[in-house]
Amino acid sequence: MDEMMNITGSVTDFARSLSDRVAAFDPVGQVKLCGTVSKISDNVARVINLPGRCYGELLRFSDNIWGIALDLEENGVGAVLLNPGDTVCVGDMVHATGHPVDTAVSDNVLGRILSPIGTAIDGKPFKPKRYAPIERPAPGLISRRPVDTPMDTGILAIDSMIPIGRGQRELIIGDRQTGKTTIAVDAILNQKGKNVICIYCAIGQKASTIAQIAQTFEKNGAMAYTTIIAATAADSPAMQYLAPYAACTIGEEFMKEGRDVLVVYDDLSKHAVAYRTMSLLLHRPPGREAYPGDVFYLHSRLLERSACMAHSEGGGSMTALPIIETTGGNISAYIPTNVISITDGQIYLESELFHSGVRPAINTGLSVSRVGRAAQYPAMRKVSGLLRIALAQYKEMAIFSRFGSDLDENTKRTLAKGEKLTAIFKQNKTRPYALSEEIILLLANQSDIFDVIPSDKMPKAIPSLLAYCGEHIPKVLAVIDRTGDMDEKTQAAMVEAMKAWAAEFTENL
Amino acid sequence: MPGLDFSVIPFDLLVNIANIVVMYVIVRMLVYKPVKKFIAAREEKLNARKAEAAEIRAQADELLTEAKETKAKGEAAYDALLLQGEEDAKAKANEIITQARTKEAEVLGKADKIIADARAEARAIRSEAEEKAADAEANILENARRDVVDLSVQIASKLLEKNISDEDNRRLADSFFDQLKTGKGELK
Amino acid sequence: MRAMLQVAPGTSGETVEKICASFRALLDQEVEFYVKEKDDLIGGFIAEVDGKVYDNSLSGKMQALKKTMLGDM
Repeated sequence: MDEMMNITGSVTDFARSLSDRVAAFDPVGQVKLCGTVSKISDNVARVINLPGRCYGELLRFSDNIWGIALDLEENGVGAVLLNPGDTVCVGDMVHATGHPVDTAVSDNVLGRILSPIGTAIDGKPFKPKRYAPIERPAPGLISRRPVDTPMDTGILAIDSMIPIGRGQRELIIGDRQTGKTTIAVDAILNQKGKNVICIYCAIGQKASTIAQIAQTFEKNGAMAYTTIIAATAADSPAMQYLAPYAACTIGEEFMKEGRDVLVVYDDLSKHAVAYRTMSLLLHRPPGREAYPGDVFYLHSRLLERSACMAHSEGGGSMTALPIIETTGGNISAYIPTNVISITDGQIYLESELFHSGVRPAINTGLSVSRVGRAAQYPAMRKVSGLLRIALAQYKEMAIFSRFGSDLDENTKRTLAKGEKLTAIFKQNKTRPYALSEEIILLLANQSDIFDVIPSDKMPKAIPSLLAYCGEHIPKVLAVIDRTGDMDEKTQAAMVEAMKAWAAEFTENL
Repeated sequence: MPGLDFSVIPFDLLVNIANIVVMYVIVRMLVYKPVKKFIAAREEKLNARKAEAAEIRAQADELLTEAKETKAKGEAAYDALLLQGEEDAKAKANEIITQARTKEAEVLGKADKIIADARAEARAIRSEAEEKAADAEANILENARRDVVDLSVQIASKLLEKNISDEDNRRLADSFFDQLKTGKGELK
Repeated sequence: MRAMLQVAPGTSGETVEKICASFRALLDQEVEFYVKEKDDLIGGFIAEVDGKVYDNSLSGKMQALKKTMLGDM
């Protein structure tokens, strides 16, 4: 009965609003700017008699097909179609909208899967409240402040040795199937309860992969604070070209409100390829590797929009995690070197490490974060000081030990410790660590707690230690999670608990 | 010696005495010494055997003592083992009981968790279903509104089609150009 | 300059001439119109002149009305 009343009420309201609108309607004639399609091929249309267009203006073709004006000439406009142009013919009318391409921006984008132009592709109705242009200038120098707040990824190797701050751009680079997307997804999952908006931008990915990622987010409760912008491999190159800019625009709107945002661009290699496709079809001169001359600008103007804003501008931030896929581990190719020089550091993933079971397969030697320890919690700084050196020493020794010669005690000790440290950094996917858990593991390493544990027992020892500490010293861990710091008393209590755990664990071996 | 009467001398006695002496000497020489020797040898043998026996007895006593000690030790060890076994069995039993209790708590905990998860899932399914129903309702209403608008416009178009004259067309053209002159025409 | 003029059925030659003359006066140019009758205009005309479409058809107004009635839908 209530539902019937609701429907009746809705219909009555609708009838009233209809009659109001009809009464207010003024039937003036319309003068529209209109061109004609003179050529159409490969989703690129040449439009004549449409003077005065802006670069990047949205054009409407017949049958609700949209295009972007990317080539402005004296006697026509070259437009790349956003939708399949099978029904566009020579002679069709083209209307200018007078505004650039925009996308939907508002709170109701959270939890949704959207196309770059703001239409829903997750099967549920979507009414955008506001639109904003996808191309905007990056924030100026004065409106920024230094990066000083950590962005926890929950991945121990990254948070300890390659720390990322809010407002930083950190590149994730590696060959195919090395865990790049997994790192980005885990970083998003770890933002639960941290008041960070996440945007995952899928460029040229398979629809099945995007569906799987959406399911992972849903299962772990991440969709509540995440938006997915998807331009699948089946979408036109123009849609794939727009996708990261649309994601960036959505993030910027939240950043302006003073919120912290994490944007993942997966991946920019496919974005560059889509842009190359469009440029070649527009007959722009190809440069190195057939990319157009402005392919650096393509990514620099995108990534420069990620910033840490000054408190006078709201104090929000947008952290970018662009992903680049390399071939054969070659990070000195054109696009990878471009993006490495734009970003504030890179996380380098190696196939060899991945296949030998070290996952995440991070090469800590080649990975760097240019923001560094400024974006680390004080507790983390206390326990992560010498990790890189220890790992580097271990790698050197490991190569040396392959010769099979008799090793002295020091070398054996270094090797054993290095093996255990490598085991500590191994982590299951979709299992990000809380800050307190990371501190436990690194403190245990620093205090030589694992010295009595055989190397082959480490995969069991680590979850056992975390469970033990979670059970016996929960208040101490809660303080670390809340404050990010650890005083000497706390450290002593933790070491004490770890020693008790070690005794119990070795007894049961 | 006025005349010895030899008829009164006991010759039998003398012969017997002489016999005895001779017998004594013979027996002493032929029997007594060998027999004495034999007895001495036998005594020696017996003594040796006695000594041997005493030695064996001593050894036996020693062995017996040893055996008694071993037996005592064995008994003590046996008692100790029994005690240890009892204690081990008690400890093992306690351990098994503790493990069983822990397992019980774990299983109960898991069961509780499963029930809680199932309830949460049921709640999620219900709210998803409610959301879907609301979306479906909104969709239906929206489609109905679009249909109403489409229909109204179609009806109006059909009616106008029949009733437009050349005069109407001229008036339309005149009002349009007047609007353009006054700048009212909408440039899109 | 050349232009296209589409008129609704039933529009007389006189009305067509008047429309062409009004455009010439508006643009202050000599314009040669190619006139075509289009059934679905219902009434009025559509002219394509110098990169602009002057839509004074009833069908165009009905579409605009429909858009207004649908509002933010």
